[in-house]
Amino acid sequence: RIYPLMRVTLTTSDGASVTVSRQLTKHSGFIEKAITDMAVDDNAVPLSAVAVDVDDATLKLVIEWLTEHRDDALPYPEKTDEERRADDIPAWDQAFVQKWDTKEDQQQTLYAVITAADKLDIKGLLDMTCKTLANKINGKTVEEMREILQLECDFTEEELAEIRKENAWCEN
Amino acid sequence: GDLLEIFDDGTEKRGETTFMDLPDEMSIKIIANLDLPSQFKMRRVSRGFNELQLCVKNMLQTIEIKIIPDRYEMSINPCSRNSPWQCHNYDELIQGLRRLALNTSINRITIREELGTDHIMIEDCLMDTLFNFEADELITWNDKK
Repeated sequence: RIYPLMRVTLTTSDGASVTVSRQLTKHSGFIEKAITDMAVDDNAVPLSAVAVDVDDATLKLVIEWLTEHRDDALPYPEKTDEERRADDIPAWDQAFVQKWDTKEDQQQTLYAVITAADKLDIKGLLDMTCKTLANKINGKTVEEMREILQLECDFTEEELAEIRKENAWCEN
Repeated sequence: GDLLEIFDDGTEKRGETTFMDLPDEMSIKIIANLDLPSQFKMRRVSRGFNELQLCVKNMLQTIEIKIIPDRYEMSINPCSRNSPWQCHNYDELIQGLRRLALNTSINRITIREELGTDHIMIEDCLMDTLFNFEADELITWNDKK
């Protein structure tokens, strides 16, 4: 059972600290495990600090997402390979990510949140951010994909010709 | 996270994170969310993607291959293509299927050979390739009679 008034203090990689309700942190496998490992009294308010390898700006975004999703069911429902789809991102989440579009480093923010969701083991946030990035790439040409991902082609012409043959069914 | 670059004059700058800096499990999760044609197109982006794409497990409902006198047609479901892929080059068909079979399982494969075709040798090679798939059902249809 999670008591709504319980608090946990998180310390970030750049030295900030923030205290949040355990209603939020229960969605993070990493934080819940850290609390369990501390073996502190569940009624302690606030609990001892948990160090997270995430910077302050990214953690703020994670907390904003957790606040919206605090009542989501746990455990997070895992999809099978057959059920996988990227077009089911909730409207609030879409608007949440679109806000970053005004930032110069929008893609960097997305990478930072994906990495944070992975480190903190927040499955719902990880799922949503991975789908968001996939949706940016879906349906694009190879050249557009390289531009979005800022990657250089490192194939030889012969290797590319071989892949083109294998890919003819989806590219021609 | 960000890479820290230290220059000769001692100044420091955070380098930009790229897709390839993400842990492989994350990259695979992102690639797995692409539709099938985009996923395969992404193989041409870089060697890294070409290797990671093999780690994605794809599940398809059906592949239907039609052998028509002057060409082949292939329909994949689900797939974002609206119309069947029309192919005149048998090697492209076989190479495409071989590569697809490496990480794709399918509920049903159907081959339909239409009146007027004479592809007995081809059929053997095609069948060998299709047996590489993890599939529940393989149906062949022959309209030649």
